[in-house]
Amino acid sequence: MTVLVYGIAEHGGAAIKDAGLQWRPLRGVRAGPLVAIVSDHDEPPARSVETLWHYEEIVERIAAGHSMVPARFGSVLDDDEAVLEMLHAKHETLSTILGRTRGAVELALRATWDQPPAPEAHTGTGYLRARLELRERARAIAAELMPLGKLSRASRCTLPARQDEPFRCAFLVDREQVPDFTASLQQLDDRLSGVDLVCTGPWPPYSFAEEVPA
Amino acid sequence: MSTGRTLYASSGASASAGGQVSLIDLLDRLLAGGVVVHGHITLAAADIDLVDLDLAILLASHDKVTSK
Repeated sequence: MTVLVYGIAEHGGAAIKDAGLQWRPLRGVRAGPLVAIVSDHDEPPARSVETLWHYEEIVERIAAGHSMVPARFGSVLDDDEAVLEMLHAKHETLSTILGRTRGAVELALRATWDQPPAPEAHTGTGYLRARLELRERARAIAAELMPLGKLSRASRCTLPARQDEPFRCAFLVDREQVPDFTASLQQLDDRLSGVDLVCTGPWPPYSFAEEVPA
Repeated sequence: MSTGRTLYASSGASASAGGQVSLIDLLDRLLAGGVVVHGHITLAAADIDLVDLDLAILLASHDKVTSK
């Protein structure tokens, strides 16, 4: 028997009655103010796109009634003792993350070039120069989206190595600020040229759940 | 289900892009984000899995295109 962890919530939310993956009942494992939301499985659930969407639905249903930081998919521990150990060991970090993300959701922003990047140059130097220029262009366009930072608690943008993707960003936004964020994004996008943007969400704050000092 | 995730898309973004981006964003979050409570998850293994899944989706969407 193993214990699958969906996330860590603050104690005191609504009762957890829903089913988890494989229709196993959800339950809480509590250590002081923190509760890990878990379900019991003989075998960890197989990884498939359907399972990932199902996991996401379950996490969102829990998050609707609790302040919760989601766990990475496939977080399996041996038993409740191991869950308690983890809660004790990460108590400070988890409390900080819960405080930072309470009442907020994550929005994902992904850009694509509206024209495919030019064919690669034949010389090594030409190739490197073209990649550098493309990267600089991506960086400049991402910088034009800075006003979105004012509508979010935190944000992070990365410039992926893939040439067809200029940048991808994640924003931590107060739940009630989402309509303002979307409206502001549209206004900024109207002035941008060279890229198309797609914004998805709201997601639980997966990208803001890592252990960085406050 | 997946296409319902798009909050905004540029007018130039292709209609199918929304659903596909939702799925990529889902993979990004569930497999590379979130609290790591499992002592055995290693960054390298997670990265490989993510690439594999990305590839599987690309192949799946390629199949759809070629079957038209």
